[in-house]
Amino acid sequence: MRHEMLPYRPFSLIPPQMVKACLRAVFVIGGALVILALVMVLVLAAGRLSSAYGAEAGEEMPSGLFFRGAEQGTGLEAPTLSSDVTMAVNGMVNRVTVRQVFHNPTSQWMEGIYVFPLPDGSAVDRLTMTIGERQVEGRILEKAEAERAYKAAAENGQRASLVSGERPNVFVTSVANIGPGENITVEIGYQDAVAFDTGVFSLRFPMVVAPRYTPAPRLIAEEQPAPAPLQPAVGSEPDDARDLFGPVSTKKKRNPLSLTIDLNAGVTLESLRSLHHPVVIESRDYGRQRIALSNASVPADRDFVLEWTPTASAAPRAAVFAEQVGEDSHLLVMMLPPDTTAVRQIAQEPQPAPMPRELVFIIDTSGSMFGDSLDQAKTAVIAALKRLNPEDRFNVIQFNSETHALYRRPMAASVANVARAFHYVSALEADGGTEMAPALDLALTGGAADGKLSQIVFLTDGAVGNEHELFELVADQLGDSRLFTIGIGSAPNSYFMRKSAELGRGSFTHIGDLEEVASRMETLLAKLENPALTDIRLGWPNAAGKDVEAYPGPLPDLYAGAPVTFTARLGGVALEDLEGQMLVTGTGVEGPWQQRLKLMGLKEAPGTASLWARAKLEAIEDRLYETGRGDIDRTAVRADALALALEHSLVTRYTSLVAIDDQVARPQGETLESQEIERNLPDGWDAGKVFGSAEKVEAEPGLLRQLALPAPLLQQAEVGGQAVLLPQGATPAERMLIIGLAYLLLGLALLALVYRRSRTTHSNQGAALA
Amino acid sequence: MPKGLTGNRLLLGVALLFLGLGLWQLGGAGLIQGKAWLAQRLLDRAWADTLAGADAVKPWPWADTWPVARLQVAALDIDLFVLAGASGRSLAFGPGQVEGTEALNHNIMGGHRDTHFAFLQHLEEGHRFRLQDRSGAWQSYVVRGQAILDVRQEVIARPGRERQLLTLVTCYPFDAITPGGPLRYAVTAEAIPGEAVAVADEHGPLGDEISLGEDGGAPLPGGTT
Repeated sequence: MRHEMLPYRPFSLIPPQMVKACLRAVFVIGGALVILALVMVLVLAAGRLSSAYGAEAGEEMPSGLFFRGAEQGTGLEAPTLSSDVTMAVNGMVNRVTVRQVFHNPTSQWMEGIYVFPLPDGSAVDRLTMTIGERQVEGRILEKAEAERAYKAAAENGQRASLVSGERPNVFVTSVANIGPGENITVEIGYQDAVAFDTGVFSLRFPMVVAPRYTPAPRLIAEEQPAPAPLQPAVGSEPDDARDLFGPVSTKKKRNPLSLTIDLNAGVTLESLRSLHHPVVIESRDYGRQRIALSNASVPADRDFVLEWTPTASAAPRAAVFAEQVGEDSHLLVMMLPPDTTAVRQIAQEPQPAPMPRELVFIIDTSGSMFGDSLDQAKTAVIAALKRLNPEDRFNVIQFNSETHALYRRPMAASVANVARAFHYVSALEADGGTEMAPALDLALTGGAADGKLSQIVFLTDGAVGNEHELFELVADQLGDSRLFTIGIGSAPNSYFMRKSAELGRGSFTHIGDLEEVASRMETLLAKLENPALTDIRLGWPNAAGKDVEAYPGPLPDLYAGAPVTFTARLGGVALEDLEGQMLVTGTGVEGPWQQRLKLMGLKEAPGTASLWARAKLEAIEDRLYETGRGDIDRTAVRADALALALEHSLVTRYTSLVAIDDQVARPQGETLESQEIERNLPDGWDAGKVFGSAEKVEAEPGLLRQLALPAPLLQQAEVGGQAVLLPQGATPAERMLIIGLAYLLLGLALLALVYRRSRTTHSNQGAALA
Repeated sequence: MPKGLTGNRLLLGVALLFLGLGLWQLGGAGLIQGKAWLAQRLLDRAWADTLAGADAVKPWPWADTWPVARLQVAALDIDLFVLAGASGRSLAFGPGQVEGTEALNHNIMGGHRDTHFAFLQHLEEGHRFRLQDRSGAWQSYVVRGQAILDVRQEVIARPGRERQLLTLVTCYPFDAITPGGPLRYAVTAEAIPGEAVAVADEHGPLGDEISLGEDGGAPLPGGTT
């Protein structure tokens, strides 16, 4: 045999083909193992992720099972806050000072942030920061500028405070560089007008901002009212919408608040009472009263409401308050039309047959209405249903995440229909999100075609963050309808409800208590049944000068018992030069109506100018919701508002008050920790209903409310329970399934590879043989 | 020898190894599900004996648990036998009753989220279900809410006051792949008073009046070990 004829043999023991094949096999197996490893890593990562996701869920989620309240607080301790409110009421003008004491209990330098409400018409115009003995006065700056100044000071280690407006009735105080164990006091002054309706004066002090539901997708669009290019002079920053869902304490009540009122009503009083808080009333000289909370302090979790009724003979028919600032006079005028209907209304005499109406009730059945709030709403609607006449038409619409109506269109108020409505209303339950727009839309588009008076009664706690979008909707679609809002619960968003009622040319009523429902509804329904006083105009004497600006303008319709209220500035007219009478005219039930009012010897009331500025500001902003607008000049609105706010040093959404201490307090090496102070959940709110479980709150509050828990279980939370060990409730079956499938796939892929390779080897061999 | 053949053989071996591993894992998964299903079938007879008066009837000779209750959710077509004890071993066969909460008038039952208690994710507030105790009496419950709990913190069971409470617990999230996460999903239900009606059961020794007299459903006896 010749060696040459033999197949080629290598020198080494292992043939190179085999080495190659081995290498290839190693490569393939290695690759497969890498893929396998990747799959395993992914599977494990998914598991890890889900447990990490779980870690965030470690908040208290009350249920039949719950967590022990103690030592589960996570992270840093926040500064604590206590507030002290003093009010000086002078007739209808109320000057309020809110002292917020930020205390830092930690050993670190802290920044404290507190979101708090103020009455909706309030004009915040003063900020004083007190550190020990020293006082630093705040100054008004354009919002972005103020923020920059504040931040710079905070970074520099100077103590600084900033008060900015998030919404017209929601403000935020930030205090930077509170030293360890130190107190910083921030004093905020604002001007408020006392309300007068149906013979009763009232003032409201809201104490807590309810967590608000903001429908997610549209937030950005409507919270930035000035996205258009802006003049550089005005600044280019759009308002950042703060998430009003904010940190909320679900565990215990905090943020103690004390409150004292110096009341100089100027009339003899028949009654004086606080609606929701027990108070101590002390009578002083000259008919003054001093009112203080009976408990030195209360948790800030519900609105404080004080009402006083003048004796019938002393009940004012009109009141004018005045203040002169510079060369201008400012007036606040309240005048009660001596309307026959109004007199009858108060005397509760039988009414003339009212006009047939179309009444549509909209009830908010979102999660935030759970409990007392919904009960109040139900009671209110049932009271209203009882007063319907057979000629009236009505409908009931409820909304949460979805909208549902009792009837497709308003139906005659027959006995059977009303009975059906009773059942429908009684069975309502609260859950889910607060999607108001579709419900409003439904109610507004169904306006009466046959000339019936179309009235919409809207019952809600107004816990929404997308106010502007809803305002536009109301302004756009109102037509001839009238929108009446009823604020329900202990801390309603009254700015939203008052403003929508204003745009809806109706009125706003607040019901804070189940006991209040009957009387308030009585008042409102009487109003609804009484024809309005419309087309109210003002006539000024010559002495008032040429430059008169009165707000609101035009004046809204009046219902029985409500006074004409407006503020005016008489440009270039000094108070002592003012004389003559002004004329208020309107159209009442029995034809034209007019009344004269003396403008001499007016009561001086400091703060009137601020109230006027606040009213004007609102008028400027209303231009954003004007109907029939093609393009609103947002830049101009902003510029006008800014100029006014700076002139009167008002905190608005364009301006902030900032106070900065000259001294540098924080040592270089120390860092500054920022914490937002937890707010209370409004009284009567059910944490479970609102948040469901904490983990997804940010992502989707509405959806997550499904995971909520009913009050009967919650209310047992304070009594003892027993610790239990929960079993583990999962098998590795799913993981095994996935890993098994992965192995199978890999195996099959390799089999396919082997098959292909053996085929190619065979054909190669065939070719070589040929 | 033809080149590549050796490589192919190696590959073939690995492929078969992978296939084997895959089948092993799948078999394991199948076994878990199968055991869960089969055990419930076997428990049927044991429960019948229990209703007939026997105590702690073991469903199969080597079992270390026994049925203590029967849970039916008509809306979701669920019919389950609840076992004594909620250890991993008994949970493989059925939902288990956590011991030691009798005094609270609050029963807690655990189950696997991917077998018996998978239906918990569909159980919503207002849903009703019923539970049969060893006396044969049925008690209706209405779901009052659900919550997600993290067991790394101490979990407290709330006592049922006027009404018996029942909490069903399983792992959460439902779609997690790996077992052993810290989250639990708990559905709490409240007994509906006056709906403790004894269904005429051929094995039920007790009459209508007696079971009604038990007022809100007698607390289920936990496992007597």
